[in-house]
Amino acid sequence: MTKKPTFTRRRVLATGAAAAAAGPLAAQVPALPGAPALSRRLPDVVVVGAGAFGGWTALSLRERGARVTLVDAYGPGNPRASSGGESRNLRSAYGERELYTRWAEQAWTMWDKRQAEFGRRLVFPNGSFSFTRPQSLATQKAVFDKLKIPYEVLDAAEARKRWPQVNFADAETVLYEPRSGIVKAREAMIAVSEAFMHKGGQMRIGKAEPGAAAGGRMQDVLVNGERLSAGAFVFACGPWLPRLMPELLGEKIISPRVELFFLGSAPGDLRYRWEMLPNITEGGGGYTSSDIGSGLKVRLNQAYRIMEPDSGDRFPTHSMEKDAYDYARRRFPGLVGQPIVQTYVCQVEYTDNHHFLIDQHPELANVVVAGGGSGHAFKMGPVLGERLADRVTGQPVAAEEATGFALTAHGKA
Amino acid sequence: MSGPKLDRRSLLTAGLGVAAVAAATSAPAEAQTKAKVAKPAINKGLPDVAVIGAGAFGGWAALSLRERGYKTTLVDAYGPGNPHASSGGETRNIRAGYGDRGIYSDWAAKAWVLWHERQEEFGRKLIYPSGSLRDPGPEQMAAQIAVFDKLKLPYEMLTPEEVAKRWPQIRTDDIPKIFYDINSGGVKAREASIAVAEIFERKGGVTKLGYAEIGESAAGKLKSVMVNGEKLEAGEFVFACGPWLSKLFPAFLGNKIRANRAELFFVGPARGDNRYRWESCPSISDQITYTTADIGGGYKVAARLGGEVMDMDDGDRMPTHFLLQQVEKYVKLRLPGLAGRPIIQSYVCQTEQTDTGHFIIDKHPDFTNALIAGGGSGHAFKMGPYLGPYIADRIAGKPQDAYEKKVFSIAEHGAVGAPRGRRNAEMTA
Repeated sequence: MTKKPTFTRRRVLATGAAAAAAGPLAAQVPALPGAPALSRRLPDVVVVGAGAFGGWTALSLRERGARVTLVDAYGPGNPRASSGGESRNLRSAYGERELYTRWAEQAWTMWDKRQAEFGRRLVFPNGSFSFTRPQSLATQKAVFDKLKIPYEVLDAAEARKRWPQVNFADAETVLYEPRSGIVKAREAMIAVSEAFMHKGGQMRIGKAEPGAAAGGRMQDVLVNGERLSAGAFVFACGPWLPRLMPELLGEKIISPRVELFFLGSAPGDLRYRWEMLPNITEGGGGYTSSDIGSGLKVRLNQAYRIMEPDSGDRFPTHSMEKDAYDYARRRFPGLVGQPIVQTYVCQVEYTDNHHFLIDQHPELANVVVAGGGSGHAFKMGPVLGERLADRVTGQPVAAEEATGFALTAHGKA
Repeated sequence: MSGPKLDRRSLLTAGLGVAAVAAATSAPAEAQTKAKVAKPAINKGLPDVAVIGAGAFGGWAALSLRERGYKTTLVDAYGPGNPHASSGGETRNIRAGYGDRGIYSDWAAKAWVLWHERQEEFGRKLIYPSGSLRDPGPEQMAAQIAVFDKLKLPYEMLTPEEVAKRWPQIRTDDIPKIFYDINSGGVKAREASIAVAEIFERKGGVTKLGYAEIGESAAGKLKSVMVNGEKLEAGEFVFACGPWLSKLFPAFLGNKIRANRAELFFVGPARGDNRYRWESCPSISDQITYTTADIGGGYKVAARLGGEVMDMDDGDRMPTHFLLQQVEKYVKLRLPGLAGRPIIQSYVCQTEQTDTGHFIIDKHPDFTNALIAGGGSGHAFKMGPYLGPYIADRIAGKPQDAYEKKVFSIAEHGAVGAPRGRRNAEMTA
């Protein structure tokens, strides 16, 4: 790599949208009046990674008064991040994994509040349904009943009546979750980072690497070679975690490639929009997100292929395009002959058991590692931010989170 | 066109309002972002206006009209900034360099200020002032300099050595002197279109999703449009539906607007290499193609095949390896540090081209209360915040600059053919 300029702290602090006459400007947007005061009781924090884990954590910490710098290699919701692209689904069905159901339920309410606070539309509450087998249905019902989460079990005839644009020929029953929907992905992360900066947080774009350590504590991180010191550090850099901390995480997170296709519908045909159609969870990882303005999004099971997040090619393939058309033909007969209007290639970072990985670094007492989203973390963002801020500020951690998310609870992915 | 109709109530909520989805009436539906902005009162002395098309022309026009007190309904087939639209995707360039076409330099300079004001008002980042380098070709360069001097717009002329010194990541060895347009950069496209529609709704505007067709008319006036078969009446109409204009008005626009397919590729720099970000790198527009500096989605490079027409509704929007190769070739020449870097995002769109590259803003030949606004020719998006008030002025019947009236008129536009080269009529942002 050739020599590259480092955005100095001063340049990053310099804000505003003035003319570019004087050369580079900063990614920073200015703080607004009413930003939280800095609390001297809290350590300065550097959060590495501005995605579902890191972006929200930085915002929560800043809101609690910490002086926070958020570092991202390419910026919030960028195309190489796991939290980029158009949208993610919000839903609470997690089988027997009740913890995530509770979190998703909290997140549902928090997203709504944040949307109002941020002043831009982020949430599309269209509901969702899944095709379920009797055994898993019983498990899910038990959790939903216990937590008083609304749902309906519909037979194919009833489902067909409600959503005639969907082919239910292969379905016996569907589980419908009314409190679920879609959130914008990239734009939500941009909104989080902008709110963070409006509240006085500092944002930096650059390559972060763990810096010096002494006495069981990390002293600093290097951002494009420049030292950035702090009292506490959060590493929330998704698929880059194993690359930044190979000894600790090298085997615990893998990131397979995923292609997404957005199908258009005929002019005037609004049946596939979120107002008319819930999201569909197919078996085995396939799902749809109804059209929020960019077409009906289809995510299918795909051949396992590792994505190198920095240098991996993100060009959609014709074989997956064909699969997307085939799927649409099968599930949505009304979309036959409609074009692909947009494509997107991303990755998911999986842990061995698909539980998140959130823990203190075993050797560095002031470092928290957070990631392993396993394809279901984005929706949890507002909750993740609060929980991670709790950890950084020394609040007690619930036992199930302490054990379930622990480094030691994860094997080779 | 077989879809069921969303009833008026739920259509109204397609944007920012309460989601009237029967099953999803829980918390998020009820706490949508509320109007924090003042809603202009509806002036009963003014006609109701229906604006068809929520893009660079229509979205901004609807917002301006609502701000002036018109009761305004904004109709779009797929929603603001959707992938079928000419105003979707990540970004558009804003620059004032237009060769000898000083009118657009003037407009762009005004739009530059307005974008900054609107960004502040909307409370979200929309404009990225990166500066831009432009080579309009030898014969246009002198004219462009004269225009900038006359309008007192800031620029510099840079030799390849000066470019290399300032931006070592850019090579312009093949261009003796390149024009550095200082007040220029990128604006968000889809998200800006969405922001405009959201603010329009918050200010009391009504949005409707659906396919619009010409409705009833009488005595030289249009009475209504049909939106997914439902009648929408208004006193004034603005048809600002980009490449769909030629579909909607085949009799007088059928051969005057042509949708040229384009592909956009976003090249991803190495981690830690910030040289291609907007803070450190200008956008480029030369005789080969144009680029937009990285605002987070990668360094954007445009490519297109000269003759390929896009069917906006039915056309497939898969990127092609053929054009990818063109982009790779260009990157090697102009931004050699990005050679071999991966494509991290791609997007397929169209520009709607007129023969002269001038916009079409004119009365419908048969209806005195219908305005046609379009023919963006790849350079209208930047003008949005200026186009809105401009179109609103036409509705209000304010006097129009004689030159603008002439060059924007339907009569002044002829049949448009396939673009022959980059410079031809296409002025591509």
